[in-house]
Amino acid sequence: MSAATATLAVRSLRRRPAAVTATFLAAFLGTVLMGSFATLVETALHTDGDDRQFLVIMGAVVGGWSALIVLFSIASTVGITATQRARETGLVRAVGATPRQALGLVLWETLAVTVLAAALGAAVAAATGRRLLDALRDGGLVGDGTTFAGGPVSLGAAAAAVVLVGLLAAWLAGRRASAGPVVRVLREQSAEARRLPRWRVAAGVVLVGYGAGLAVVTTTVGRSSDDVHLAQETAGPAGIVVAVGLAVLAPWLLGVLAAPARALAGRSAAGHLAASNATRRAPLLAGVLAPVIVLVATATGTLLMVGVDGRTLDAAGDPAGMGETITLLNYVVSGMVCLFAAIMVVNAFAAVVTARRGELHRLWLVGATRPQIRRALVGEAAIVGAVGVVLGTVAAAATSVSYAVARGEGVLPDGQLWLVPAVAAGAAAVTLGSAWACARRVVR
Amino acid sequence: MTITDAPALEMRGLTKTYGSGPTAVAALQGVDVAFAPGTFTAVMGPSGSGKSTFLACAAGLDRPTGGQVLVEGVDFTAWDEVRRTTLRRERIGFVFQDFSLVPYLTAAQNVELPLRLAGRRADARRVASLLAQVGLADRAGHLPSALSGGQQQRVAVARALVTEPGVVLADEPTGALDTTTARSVLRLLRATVDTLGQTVVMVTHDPVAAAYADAVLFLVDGRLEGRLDAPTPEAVAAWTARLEDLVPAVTR
Repeated sequence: MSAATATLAVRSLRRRPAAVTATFLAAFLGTVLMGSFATLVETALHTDGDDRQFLVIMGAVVGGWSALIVLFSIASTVGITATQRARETGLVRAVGATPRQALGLVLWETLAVTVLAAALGAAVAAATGRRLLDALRDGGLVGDGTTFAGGPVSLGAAAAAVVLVGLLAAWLAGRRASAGPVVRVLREQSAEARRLPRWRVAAGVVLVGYGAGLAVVTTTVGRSSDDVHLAQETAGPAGIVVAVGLAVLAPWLLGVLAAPARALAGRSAAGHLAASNATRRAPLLAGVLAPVIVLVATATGTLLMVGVDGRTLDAAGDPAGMGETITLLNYVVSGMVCLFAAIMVVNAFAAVVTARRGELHRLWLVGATRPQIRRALVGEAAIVGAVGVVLGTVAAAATSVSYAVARGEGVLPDGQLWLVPAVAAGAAAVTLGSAWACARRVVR
Repeated sequence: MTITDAPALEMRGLTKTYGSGPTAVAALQGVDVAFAPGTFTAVMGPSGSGKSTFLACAAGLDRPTGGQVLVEGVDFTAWDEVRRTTLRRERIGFVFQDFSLVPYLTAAQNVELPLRLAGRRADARRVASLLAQVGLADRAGHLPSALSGGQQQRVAVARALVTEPGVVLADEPTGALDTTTARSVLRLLRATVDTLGQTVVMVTHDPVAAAYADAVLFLVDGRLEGRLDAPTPEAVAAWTARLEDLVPAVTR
């Protein structure tokens, strides 16, 4: 990375506000979420006894699983924007940039945006982490003697993780366009359906398998342990890990699961365009699918688990009387993760649709009316939303089914199954709403 | 084809001004011209002469400042955006310099797209026969990225013909192609006029390309300044050289 590439990177960033905003938002919110939990761990190191153990579990275990979502979302967003600019990378190389310089350009840009976003995020996390500890103290989960000790160590670690993951994702996505013959890069349409790299398939399968393993552990631990809430420590993450695993495999899953949409589209031109794009360019929309899966899995899984807990707690025995507090905690954590995932859905849609401005204009040139183009975009969102709801609900089962079994309710929880369609409706509203808003803004 | 006495494409007193006040640029300053059905016409002119604006107004892609554009006798100048798009995709075929194929649709799906957009049934046999006519029968299932530039442009020509439009407009259709490939695309356009009775209006700056047409119109500073029938490349080149002398040095 030379000074020349750095200068070029800054100029290039100014020309792509949408991509910069998407990366910035993901890195900023990601640092806020991760940093908040990280401060709990640092606080734990300055205290002892039960508080210490609780804060480590809260920060490292619960926060750790949230971090998985955050880091994956950042990697996904950076991946979207770096893939979209593959052609441009080809152009820079065509006029004489070496592969190293071309990749350096992508890395410099990512570095500049994520460092700024992570620094701001860390500053905000110092405040939100303090609020989180206050909430835990108010709930009686930590003693009054435990004071906030989050500082540069925990916040710096969270920020560094965000920047490093951003750079890694940029390197992975930019590598293909910066290597190989320039002509191939220039010819290749961005985000065309390609075979998923082997490492990605492996990572997805390992995560899904690990999540399923956590679900199995939940069913046994729940029945044998004295601590009635211990099963939640594996049930909660089980759904999240399966969800992230499915999200890693999202480009492949979307291509396969969106195929029926082609038949459903019938003679509608907008539906035909939407279905063709979703199946043939799945990697593009997979960036939107991933947060939908996480959103549905976290919301459905956690809410059903809390429901099971409420119905069976008296029977299971709750000597410490922690039931209500733990329920509140579940709401807070899953609420934060869901909010983050919902923003990521909107964010990813904005990045994907804005980068397709030229292609959408071409559709208009060949005779699509603007309402038709907008309907095609909303149709893509409908496909992504439907696939995301199905996969998210499957992932949620790892949490809700295992916990229901652990608490003796059987494979299906005894109540609140209406939550499944309710969360699906909510996720559909977020997905379609953001698509509609982007379509209105871009196709005028 | 529509049975009508009206010209395939006609322009009456067409003007187009970009901007307003002292910085306004008059791209077209009163163009009157008619293109008879079954003719192949090339429109030439130095850069900045208004060629692109001329074609964009003819296609309904841009709204003229004044005057009328009639396709098969229908004046759509004052129509709203959706109605103009509807007429455009039914009655006007357009071939772009950059091909403008939709990247996630196959060659056959790109060809049938205007029909689908119009809510009409895409006849698979018709699409196949069009692809065969442009010499791409065996490429129907390929995505644009798997086709060469010349092949992509031939798919685009088939797409422009699929609705049996009243007129086909081509904007520098060979501008992005090498000489040999360019020639095959020009022969294809010529054949649509000779065998299908299509009307083609093509903007170009290449005298060799213009010589494929029945007549060449010369556009200078937003006005039609001449017409050359039965053009040869040499005659077109001579005309072009003469016209460039007409353009005042300051505007060049």
